[in-house]
Amino acid sequence: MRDFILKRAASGVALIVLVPTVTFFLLYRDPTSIARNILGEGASTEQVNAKVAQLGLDRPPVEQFFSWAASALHGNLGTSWFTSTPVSTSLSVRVPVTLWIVLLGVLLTALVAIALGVAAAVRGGWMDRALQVVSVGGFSIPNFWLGLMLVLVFAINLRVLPATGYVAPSTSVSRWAASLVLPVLAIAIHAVAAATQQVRGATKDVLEQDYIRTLRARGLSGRSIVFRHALKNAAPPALTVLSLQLIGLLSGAVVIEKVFAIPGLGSLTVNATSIGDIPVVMGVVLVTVFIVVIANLLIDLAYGWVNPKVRVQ
Amino acid sequence: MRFRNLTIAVAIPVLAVTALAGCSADGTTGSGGATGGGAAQTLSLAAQTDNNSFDTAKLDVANNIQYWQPIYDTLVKLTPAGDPQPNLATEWTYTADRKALTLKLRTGVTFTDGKPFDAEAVKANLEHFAKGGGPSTYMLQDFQDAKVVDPSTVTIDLKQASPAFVGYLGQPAGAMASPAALTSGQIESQPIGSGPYVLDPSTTRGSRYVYARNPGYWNAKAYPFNQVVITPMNDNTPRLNALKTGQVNGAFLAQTSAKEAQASGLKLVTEPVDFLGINIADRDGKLVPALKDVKVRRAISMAVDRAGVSKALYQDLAEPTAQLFNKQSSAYVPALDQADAFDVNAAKQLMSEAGYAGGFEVTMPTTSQLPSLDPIVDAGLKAIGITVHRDALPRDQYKVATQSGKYAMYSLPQAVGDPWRDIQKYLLPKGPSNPLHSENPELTALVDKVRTATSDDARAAAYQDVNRWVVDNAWFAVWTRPLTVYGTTTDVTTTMQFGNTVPYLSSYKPATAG
Repeated sequence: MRDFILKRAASGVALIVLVPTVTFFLLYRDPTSIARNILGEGASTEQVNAKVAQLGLDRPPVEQFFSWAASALHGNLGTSWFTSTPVSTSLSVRVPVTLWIVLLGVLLTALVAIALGVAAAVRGGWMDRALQVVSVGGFSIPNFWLGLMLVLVFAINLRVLPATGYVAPSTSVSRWAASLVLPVLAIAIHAVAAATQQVRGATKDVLEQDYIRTLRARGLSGRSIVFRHALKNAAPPALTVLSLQLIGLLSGAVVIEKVFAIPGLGSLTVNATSIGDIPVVMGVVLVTVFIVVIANLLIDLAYGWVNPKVRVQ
Repeated sequence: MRFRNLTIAVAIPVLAVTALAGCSADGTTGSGGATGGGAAQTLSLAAQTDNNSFDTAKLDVANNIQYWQPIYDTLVKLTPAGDPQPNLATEWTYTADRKALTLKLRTGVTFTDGKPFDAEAVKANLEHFAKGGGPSTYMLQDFQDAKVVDPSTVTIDLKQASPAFVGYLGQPAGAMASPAALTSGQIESQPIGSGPYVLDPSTTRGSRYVYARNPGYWNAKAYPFNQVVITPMNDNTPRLNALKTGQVNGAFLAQTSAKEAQASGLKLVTEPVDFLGINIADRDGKLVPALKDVKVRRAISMAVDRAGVSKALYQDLAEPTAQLFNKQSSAYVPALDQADAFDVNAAKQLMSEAGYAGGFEVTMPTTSQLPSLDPIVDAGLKAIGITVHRDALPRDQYKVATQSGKYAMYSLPQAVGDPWRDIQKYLLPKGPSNPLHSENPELTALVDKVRTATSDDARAAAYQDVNRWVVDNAWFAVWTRPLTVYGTTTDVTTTMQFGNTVPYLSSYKPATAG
């Protein structure tokens, strides 16, 4: 198990180094145009040159990258070129917002997928067919469209949930929950569709195994067979799908945050990219890679806990 | 087997959350607006962009103005029509040559850190702004220095007469911060002004800006709301949804959602702030020799159906026009709205007379702010023989690239307001939107007449002469004047501001107020 964790951690570190490196050099552009973008159209040549020097953009790109990397290792991600806000401050405000949406989306996905997938696998018949149709529908519906429809019904027409915004849990737990219901529902639709199919298929396969027949012959209850034996063996494929969906949920957050005007990591990314605020973009990339690596490590650990064969391998 | 139990286990938390949500109805309905009689509680606004800075040297107009106006009072106050009124400066006089402006200052005003507002504070602020290198630094490009005459009198020396200078003192150039804040290094996070509100500590940058009433403000009656909350919302859809549900009281809206907003019972106010057209920057033919000929430039102006563009892009919330200047400005000439009428045959005739019957090629950048415009332009120019090749440019590079002098022509969805500001920006050789530094002695003489005019009527006449010259010489091919749309809930009233995308803070009032 220790070797398993170490291997996963090493590949994670490699990703954390590689992705920001590639991103930095993809983002690099002419320093004068960056300075002009920041200062505005009325800036004189002297002011532009001073800004280039102030931001260290007159150094070679490789030197700029290593300077950024060295600072990042010490926890200093720089400041926004446009607002002078420390990048770490912006991230500390935004990351929890997106993480709440993603984690609640994963939780919702897991609960609904298990419920529906197991029901479809066990009951079969019309329930299985109906759920397959619903899953296809879930795949087909764009999450931003679903978000807009949810706003129309629950916010604009029924007035029971807010149309936009996010309230921190420290301000009000009930308003925090209210602000997340519609975004989480919208973001989870594809994940639920994919995970439900996976749970259904895996559970069905396991329930057809000989040892399940033996357990039934020994008189174990249906619930015990499903939840103590079958689900544990059907979990690994579902966990795989969940880990893939988590990445999908992170990227889906970009769109959902736009629809609901939620001040999360996604909207920060779009805004910073559209104006060329490179320190912020680099900070976002670093944090996102970190989140994905940690999340995948946790899911791999869960995979190993559920399926001991994986640990041995 | 009881899968009902499992289903119930999933349903219970979902229902519980929904019930919690229902209990928090105060978060879903309007958080602002008038309560009728007495001071109203909260004015809630959605802003199209996030705030860029609280450093007075970096303040900006357009959407950004609503972020700093609560905190910083200005030397003069602009009426919605753009006329300067006394504010922190109670009166002002120019010398005969208009190269020195003396301001008498309001007494008894203090900043929220207790420092007095006086002539020294004005001097410090103007000097800070002039060397700040912010997006509005152009407002003080003619500023030479400020002399303290006495604590309530300051004289500003100008390098040359600047017709818009007093108006600029009602905008970022006139925003007054405490001199201590200017040098504290903390002005970004702790802005200190003498305005009607202060930045509340509950503010979260990039997410929610909260302004609490400044109890010591000298003109509290002009600002009836106890609190102002501004939430950045980049996209039109959430802004419209927030208005519909009453989460905000006011928001800038896209023209395409105007009808939907009205059908939802929202109120709309409009203002002609922008123009849409092409900047034919290469009037000297340095990059594309054909553009040196005024007949070719006029042919370009006549190649696109103005009425069609107005309808297609702005759903009739736009007015066909051929002139650059704002309709509400003194430079406006009604007849110029019909100049160079759409006429492909006449345009081809002009091209032929100029010796370009076979057409020519030109490279333009993609208009990232308005991509739907490009196919219209390309088709219109193709019809008169001009083939457009498009450079794909990311949105954040558009302004810098087009102002670099790389392109002979580029599309301009841009704001216009004060005509002197527009002359500075679009017509003067060093103007940022005159990237190839075109100059013409006739135009220079007309601009000098504006600069040296000594009466409003003379200045207006001079502005109109400039306008006619620009249209006759087709420095721009302008097609339409889109109306900026601003929506409010029914419990709030506001008035649009001349030349600005959103209303000034002082315009918002509870609907029940007299």
